[in-house]
Amino acid sequence: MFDLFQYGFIVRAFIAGAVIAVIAPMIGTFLVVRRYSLMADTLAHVALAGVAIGLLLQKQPVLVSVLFTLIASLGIEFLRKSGKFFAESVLAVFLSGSLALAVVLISMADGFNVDLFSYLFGSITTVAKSDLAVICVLGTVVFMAILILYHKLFFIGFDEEVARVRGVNVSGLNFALVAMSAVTIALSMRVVGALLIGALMVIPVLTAMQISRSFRQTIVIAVGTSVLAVIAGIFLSYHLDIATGGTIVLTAILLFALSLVVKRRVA
Amino acid sequence: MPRVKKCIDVEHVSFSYGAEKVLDDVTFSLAFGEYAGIIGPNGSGKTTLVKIITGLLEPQHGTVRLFGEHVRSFSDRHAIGYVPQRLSQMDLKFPVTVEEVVRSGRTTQQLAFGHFQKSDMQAVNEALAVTDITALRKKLMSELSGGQRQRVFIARALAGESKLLILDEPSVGIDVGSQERFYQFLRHMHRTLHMTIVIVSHDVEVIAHEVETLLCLNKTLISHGNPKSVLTRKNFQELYGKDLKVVLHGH
Repeated sequence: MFDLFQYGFIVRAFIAGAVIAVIAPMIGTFLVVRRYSLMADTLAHVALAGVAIGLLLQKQPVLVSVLFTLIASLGIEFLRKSGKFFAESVLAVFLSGSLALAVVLISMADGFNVDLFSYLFGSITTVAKSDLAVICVLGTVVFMAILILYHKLFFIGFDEEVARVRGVNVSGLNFALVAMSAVTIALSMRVVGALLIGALMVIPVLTAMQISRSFRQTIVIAVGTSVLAVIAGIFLSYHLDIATGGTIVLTAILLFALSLVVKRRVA
Repeated sequence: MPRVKKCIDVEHVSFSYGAEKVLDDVTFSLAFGEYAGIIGPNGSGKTTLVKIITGLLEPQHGTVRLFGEHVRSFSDRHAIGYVPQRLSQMDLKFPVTVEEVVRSGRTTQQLAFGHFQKSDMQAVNEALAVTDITALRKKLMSELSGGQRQRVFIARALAGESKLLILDEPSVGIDVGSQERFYQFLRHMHRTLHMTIVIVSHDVEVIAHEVETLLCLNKTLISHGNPKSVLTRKNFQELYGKDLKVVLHGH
């Protein structure tokens, strides 16, 4: 059963998956509290355009995608903050605009369509050594940033107005949250895929909310659920030869369904 | 003659939303330790005034000073305890405990790396004790009544060592019995902690017999002083356009 660990790409997939499984629901918890869930999907499409640019320029796609998504995320937050547009419409423009850019770039350069497919849905065979280094370094940076900003993010998440009165830099924290989301999403594409990362950021949080008794516990349970879903998903996808990203997300949904049953039993 | 430092000093403040003037040349001041109420009909600019005092809105004209400092450059912001009109923006579907909410009042006092110290937890414990919600500390916010939630938000302000407490319509959504206990609790807090408290309310009768100073606002400041001198028939007509009379009950 554990013979799969003799393959280097599987070990890399597990390490990358574990890093993503920890940071995705941590960021996701704050996105859900702030009702920013759609942000994850928007940034995922932006990240895809970033990958297309990277492939076209023949530079490291993950790194190019991180930079591109980071810049776009700051643009999204700037437009939302300006108050001139509805927040949802800003997200819609970036979501469809990025997808359009990705499609145009793909049409401009035939030949990387197959590789791009792995970024859309994730593939355990594609986590290169260079990808793993980027995922581990930036994943650690995001993890540390969340720990440092935890209490401030909690405050603005539950009472932005009062936090502002008390002198918390709400705009700066919003930018930081969106930027961390952008990095997390861009890093996650190799394992879960751009179209499915939103689910990994949100579903474990919803699962945790059914059974937890505090905000902190919600994050811990969400991370636990996410790690379980990613590890089980990679195992299953290897043994059954099925798509990794989809298997991970379906496992996460199964755990969510279980949490609903547990909640009903307890109630 | 040197200027006497006030807790709140509002000078010639005017504010408009587009073409609609909401506040027109409002001037008043509150001393340290004063217990004041702001009354007025719907749309009289009460909440706008509070948002200007707390620095959430910038007036087009006039200045606001808190503790003698201009509100824009006021650095000691944790001295302001603010309980907004809605029972916070908090989404009660999310599991969050009383202790976590109260602890968030210490956020701006944290040292580097966002860790709470022993002194933070001591302040949280004291705030829970003063507001009489220590027994509820592990409860979820969704499990509390409206009155208990208000106490939690006040405890959050106290945990931050606020010297000024501003409550915007604090009794909305609280039943009559709990309201009585809630105002009793505020009186007790004012007496024991000597905080400056400002309550915004449309409930004239209740507020008028709770506070020491009353401000009647209807876009302009109609009257300002002790409740008995302020609640005259003439002021009432200016406030509500009706010939009403308020009977003040003593405690």
